[in-house]
Amino acid sequence: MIPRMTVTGSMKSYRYNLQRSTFTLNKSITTVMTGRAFNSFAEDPATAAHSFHLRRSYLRTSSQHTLNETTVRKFDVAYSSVTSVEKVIDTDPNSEGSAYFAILRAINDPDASARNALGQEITAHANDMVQFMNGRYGDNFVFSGADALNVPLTWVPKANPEYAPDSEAAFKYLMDDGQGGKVGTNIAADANKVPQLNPNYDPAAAQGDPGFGQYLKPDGTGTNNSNLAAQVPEENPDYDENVTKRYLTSDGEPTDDEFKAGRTLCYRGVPVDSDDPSDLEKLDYFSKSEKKYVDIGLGYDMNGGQVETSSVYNVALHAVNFLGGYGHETRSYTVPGYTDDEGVVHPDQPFTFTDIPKNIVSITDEIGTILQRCSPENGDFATTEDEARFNALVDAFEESSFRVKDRYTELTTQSQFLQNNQKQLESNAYTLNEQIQAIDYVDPAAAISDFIFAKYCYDTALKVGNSVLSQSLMDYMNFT
Amino acid sequence: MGIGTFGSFTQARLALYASQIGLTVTGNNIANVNTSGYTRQRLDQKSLYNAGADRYYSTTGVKVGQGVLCHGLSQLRDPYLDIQYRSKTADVGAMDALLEGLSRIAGVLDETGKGGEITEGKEFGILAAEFRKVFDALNNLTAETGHNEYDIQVKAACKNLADMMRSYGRGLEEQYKSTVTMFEQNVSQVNTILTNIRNLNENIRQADISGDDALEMRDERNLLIDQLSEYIKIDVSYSTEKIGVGAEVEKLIIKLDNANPDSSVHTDETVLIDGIYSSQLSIDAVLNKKAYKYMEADGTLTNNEARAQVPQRNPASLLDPTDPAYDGKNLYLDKDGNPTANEADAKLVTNENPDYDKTGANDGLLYLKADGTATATYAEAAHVQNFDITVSELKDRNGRLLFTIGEPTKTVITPEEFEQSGGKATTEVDEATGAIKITTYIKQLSDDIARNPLWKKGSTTAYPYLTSSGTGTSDAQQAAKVYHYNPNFGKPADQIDPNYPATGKYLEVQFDAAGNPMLNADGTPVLTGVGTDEYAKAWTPKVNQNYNPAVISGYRYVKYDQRGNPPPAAPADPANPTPAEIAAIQAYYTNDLDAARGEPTYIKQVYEKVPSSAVKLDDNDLYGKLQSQRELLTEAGEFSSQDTVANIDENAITKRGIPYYQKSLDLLAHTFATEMNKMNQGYLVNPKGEFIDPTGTDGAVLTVTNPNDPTQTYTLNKNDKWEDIPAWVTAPADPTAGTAAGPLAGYNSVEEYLAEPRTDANGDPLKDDNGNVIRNGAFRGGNLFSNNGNGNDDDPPITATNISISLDWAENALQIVPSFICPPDSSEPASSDSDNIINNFTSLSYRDLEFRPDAVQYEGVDNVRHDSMFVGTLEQMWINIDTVLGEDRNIASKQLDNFYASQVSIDTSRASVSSVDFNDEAMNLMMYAKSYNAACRLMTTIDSVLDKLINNTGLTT
Repeated sequence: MIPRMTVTGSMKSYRYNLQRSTFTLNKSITTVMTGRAFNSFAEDPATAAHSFHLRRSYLRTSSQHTLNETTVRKFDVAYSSVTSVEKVIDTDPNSEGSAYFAILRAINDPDASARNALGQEITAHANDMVQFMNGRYGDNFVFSGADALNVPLTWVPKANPEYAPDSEAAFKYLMDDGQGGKVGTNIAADANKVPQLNPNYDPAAAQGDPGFGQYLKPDGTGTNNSNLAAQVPEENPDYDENVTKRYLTSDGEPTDDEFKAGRTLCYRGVPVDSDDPSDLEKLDYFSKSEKKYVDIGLGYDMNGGQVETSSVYNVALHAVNFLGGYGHETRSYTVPGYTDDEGVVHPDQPFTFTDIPKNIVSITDEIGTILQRCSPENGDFATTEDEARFNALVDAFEESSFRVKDRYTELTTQSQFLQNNQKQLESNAYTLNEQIQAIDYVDPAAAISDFIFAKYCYDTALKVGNSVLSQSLMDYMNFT
Repeated sequence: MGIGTFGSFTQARLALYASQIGLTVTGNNIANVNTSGYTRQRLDQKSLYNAGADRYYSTTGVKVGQGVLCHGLSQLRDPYLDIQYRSKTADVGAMDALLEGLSRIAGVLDETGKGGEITEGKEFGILAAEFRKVFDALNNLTAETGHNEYDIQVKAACKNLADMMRSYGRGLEEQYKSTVTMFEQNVSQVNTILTNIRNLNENIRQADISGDDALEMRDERNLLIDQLSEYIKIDVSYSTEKIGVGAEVEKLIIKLDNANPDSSVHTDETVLIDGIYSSQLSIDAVLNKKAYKYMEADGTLTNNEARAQVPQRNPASLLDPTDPAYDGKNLYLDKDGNPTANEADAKLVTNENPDYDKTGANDGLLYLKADGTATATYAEAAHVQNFDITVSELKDRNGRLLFTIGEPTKTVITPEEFEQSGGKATTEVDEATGAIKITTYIKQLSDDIARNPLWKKGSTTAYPYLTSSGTGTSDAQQAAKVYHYNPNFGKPADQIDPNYPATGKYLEVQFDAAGNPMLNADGTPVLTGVGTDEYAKAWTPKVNQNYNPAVISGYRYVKYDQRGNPPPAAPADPANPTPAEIAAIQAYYTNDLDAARGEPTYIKQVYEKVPSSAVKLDDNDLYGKLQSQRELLTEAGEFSSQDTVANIDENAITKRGIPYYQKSLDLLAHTFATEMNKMNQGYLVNPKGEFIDPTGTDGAVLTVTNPNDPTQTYTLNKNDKWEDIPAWVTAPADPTAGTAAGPLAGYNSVEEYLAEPRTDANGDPLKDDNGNVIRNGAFRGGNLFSNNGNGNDDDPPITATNISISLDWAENALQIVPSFICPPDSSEPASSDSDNIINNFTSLSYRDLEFRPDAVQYEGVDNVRHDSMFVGTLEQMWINIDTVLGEDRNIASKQLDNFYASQVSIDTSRASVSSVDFNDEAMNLMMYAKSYNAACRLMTTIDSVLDKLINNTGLTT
């Protein structure tokens, strides 16, 4: 049976379909205006989630790109610093102005005055290297490892190992401690008073002449009567002035004068040429274990609660690693024998040094110091040992400079990697952006043709509307 | 019956009348073409035909109809389409409300296309972008560790994120509140519709009684029912109701349409409308426990003491089962105080509400407001968390309750008990339920009757008297009365017969003690000899001349107690039976039906007249707009407590309303804040993992010594598992062996020990120069996020609506701890070491976290699932929330589309049956107009014919 189509039924049906047509038109207008393929999760939940995933990746890549860029700049500064150091230690004999050039001159040029001057120049080179390695990028010291707020390399006056200002030997006098014992003091007035001893005391002569007596009276004459003797502060028999001196000169003499003191290069407060196991442990930690990782898009991953080191990048640069290392090594040198003008034969003198530094700055600095100690008159080394040590240091310098160059090459490779990574991140971001565009945004041609079609349908629906209630039999009824 | 001469006029008149009415009905249809809910009407006509036999039979034998009768108007509706339409309307209502609610949630949470207002094409979302900013700032901090401004950047990003989360949290709260308001309005709307339907029912009933079809009111009622079906899925049925004098009227019943998937639940068939009675819906309010004196057995609070009668428990059954006095069998005490296992025997005692405020200060204040204060007004009360709905009692317009009487319960009682009851009905009102118990007693006669097979129908020989209709009777009173007139009555004194009394109209008869007139053996009356004017004193029964009690065929029955006995022999001389023969026959046979029946049965019938009562609906009893809104307010998906799943809605885990999204957002905020807080707290260690001593210098480590052997020491190490620690470190004191407790005895983890504050000799905590408590470990860091911006607390838990950066971080008293690792011989980490940031904070952007629904504890919601609801990064969780919402909306939208299309299709079908069509009506117009014309023509013709007959017949010209 054909369903009965009534006025109300037709109207309801038309109203519903017109509403749908309007909805479709409105939706296509929104699509054309926003250019977006979807405007809510509900329209396409899976694609919307994928879109947000891509956007997250895009933002993450942008962040990594920024960080990588910072890292590249830091490595540029590092590269520049190490290049300067490399120039200073360039072992090309023709590299005039380098420390090595000066050393070669010091070896070969027996000019007396030149050795002192060369010594000063070489010391200045050591200072330069420290300055290069103490360079900053932004507010951070580049070569401080994970301690970028603190200067990495410092010259510390050479400490007197015997320095013990609180030890018994540091006090000139003795005083009662109030408990029947004695303690040291450097204040004469506080010290116990004892009869002044006669420096000319002669027990044999003293029998006859009190002037040779055991004590001295206040007037300076001798006496055997201690009561008459002048009272002087009790001296500490164990007093040793050396324990009161804070520093050592470059010759190893104790001194309190910081400027006369020799100097030691320290990395983050630890002497780089120390052989103290505790210092070496710290330097080992700095050099090998202390890392500072950043996430520059190498696929950050966790392993056992710790970041997988291959998935992040270590940006900690340690000055000691770029200056040939730290600690001591043993080197031998034999000063060749010779026959002097008087025909005296001087045999070969072999020397073995167990404390030759590995660090090129320390080596350079010590070479400078030895050269400055040379005789200003004839340029001779102060001692044969100096000569032997100088030559041992020169060998060490050459080897150390190779190590520096190795690191220099390594740094170059690292810089290159970072630059490549930068390009990779840019490319990733570009690809992600393209994907986002493809997912999120509509093809304008498709969107517009959809819109045109929707509009066409809507217009047609409106036109049809005029005919929904077409003429009925009523209109043809004619009663006479 | 043939038609009379002038009957043809009637025929034409009826035809005119029918056509006229037809035109009116058509006119009414055309007039109402645009009236919403109007059902087209049709005139019901039938041919008038009198089927009776003619008194004067027509010789032609032709019987002609007498015209047309209009016997009513009917509406053209298809009840099946109505049911379909209403069912689909409930679907549309349900999905429409759900989609609308979800769309409003999406208005808060959906970030698609957002965030790109400033930079076209960079729609990174809002919260999604804020998350990225936090990780971006943390990334920068790894490169620039130790510089305060970079910590501030992280802080600013975190603050923005927290602010945004709070804003989203508040947005959801607002949606929740507005949904509550809409829900309340809709409940109120439903109540209005129910009231209106009830009122219409009453009007229609009145119209029905007075014979009016009330079609327009029915249309209006149908419209209201259609409206109601959008809110609630309903079952509409029509039945009839007896109104007395054999008349019946239609009764409309609207019930909930069995929406609950649990077939054991029947509250989903609760009656909403029963004729002129209707209920109202109400959202359950939070009750003030202090205002109720008693508690029903199921824990319902009440002030009706009768409802709070519970069986008295045996105190011994409440003891611990290990107690020797425990009695696990006899759970109750009977009325004598003796233990019993039978609940029915138990003494009923009033169950008091322990929370009742005995001062009476809370009396009458039955509800609690949202702020926890008491109120007497339902309108002010807070709704229960589950927004449970209660359907009220069915009441009529005047507030009278509907009572229903069920089938009686019948019990057989003894004759003695029947005697005792006196056979009178009694009523009894149950105070607890208001039900009225009606008890009636019935003596039910036996159907087992012993009949005399020799009985001759119509025989009267067994009866001494005859009734006026000639049948026999033994009862003088039932017999025809023979009056004895006084022959002297009316005679002059000289003619008076001395054998009769001189006065009185009648001759007075002597009556026995039983009030029966006495007769002589020959059947004549025993007269007193005096005259009387009262006829009642002057009669005797009509004597049966054929009376012979020895005739066996004169008895219908055999006496019940003689059944089985041999019958007596007939008299030797039937005309003159001996008294013994008569006695034997009368002892065996009888005409008394009662004597022939078996024993009667005595029955007690108890009817219960139960008042309509309020019904608390189960969680899933409703379906439609109302239920969808309710579910938007209550459903928490995976966050539902197991108790809810077990007791309220077994599908609660898969239903998601606003609480689900609120709790998801809370979980995200909570997880983020908790992870960040956790990462920012710890104890300093050296590169070997040994814990640094907070009071030592130069990297001194935390070493403990064995109190029982000072040569043994142990350095606490982060990498050591608890079980790897030497036994003496954690060993408790052993008084037997005389050994002291190890330094970590009594702790459950190294962290617990490290967190313990160090104390001085007085037991007071030691503090550092900044006033911070010194713990066993060198503690660094603190909470970056708190549950409010004025402190550092994270308990009560951090949620989306309270997440804030902590006061310490805000005031720079705290920063992100970049590292806990101190270089050798150092008690502080290196200045720009970022180990903690790269290992922990950065990992938060990559690491998959388990999001467990029970992570955030909510007051009053216990026993929530521990299983992960999502595993992924924080940002993925955020997108997951949106994806779930998107999927829900997508499904709801498609379903709504389908339902709506079906509804329109059914509505069109309905319109095809019920609505007006111009072509139809034009046809009707023409039809009725033509028939009107024809009727007129008929009348003219008849007139003309009769004129001929009357005026011109027989005339000759």
